[in-house]
Amino acid sequence: MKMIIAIIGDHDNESVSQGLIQSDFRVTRIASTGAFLRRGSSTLMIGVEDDKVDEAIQIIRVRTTSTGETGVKRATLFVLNIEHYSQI
Amino acid sequence: MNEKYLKVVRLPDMERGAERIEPSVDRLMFAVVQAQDVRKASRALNAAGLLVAQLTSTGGFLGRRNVTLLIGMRGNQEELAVKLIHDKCRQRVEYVSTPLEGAPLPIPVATPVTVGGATVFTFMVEHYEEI
Repeated sequence: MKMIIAIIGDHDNESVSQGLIQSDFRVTRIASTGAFLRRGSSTLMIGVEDDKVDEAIQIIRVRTTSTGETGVKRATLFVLNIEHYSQI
Repeated sequence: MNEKYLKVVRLPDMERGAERIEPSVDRLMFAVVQAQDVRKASRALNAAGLLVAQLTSTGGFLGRRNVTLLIGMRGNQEELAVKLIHDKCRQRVEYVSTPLEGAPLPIPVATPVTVGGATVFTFMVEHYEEI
């Protein structure tokens, strides 16, 4: 099990979350602010099976839109290993 | 440095061949800090070139508002980040009112409680990507 922490712009939040949910990923959204994207941002926590990490990242890649400004990141992704996972 | 941690960054306005090599982010730090310390702490971290995202949260013994900072960094920056957070997030003593034990009326008594500092967790990042 891995956890993807994705920091994306607010304007992409809905599209990315819907895309992930449609592909059976479970997403937790947290409103955040900060300097990664310097404006309203959303942090997504996505728990995924090891072999599904690439698929999830691909969805985020496709669903994030460019703001048109050069050098502005659309998303920042961290993939962490999860030592223990259970749903209660 | 291990080659695995190096990535090539091509800036949009750079000429061909002018590539800058910089080590990639391999650690993610969660720092839970008190609301009143956030601005100072984020400013210091930003000034040190660290990437910071803020999540508002609540918790701790008094259930107060606090902020969770997500900080992406390389291994050799961890010590610096902890030092900056330590400098900016002081432990302080606050007083909460508790009723006096055994009194017939609820007489409030100021009880000192030590709050703050910061709580820091660091995770190893298996994969880091900017899109």
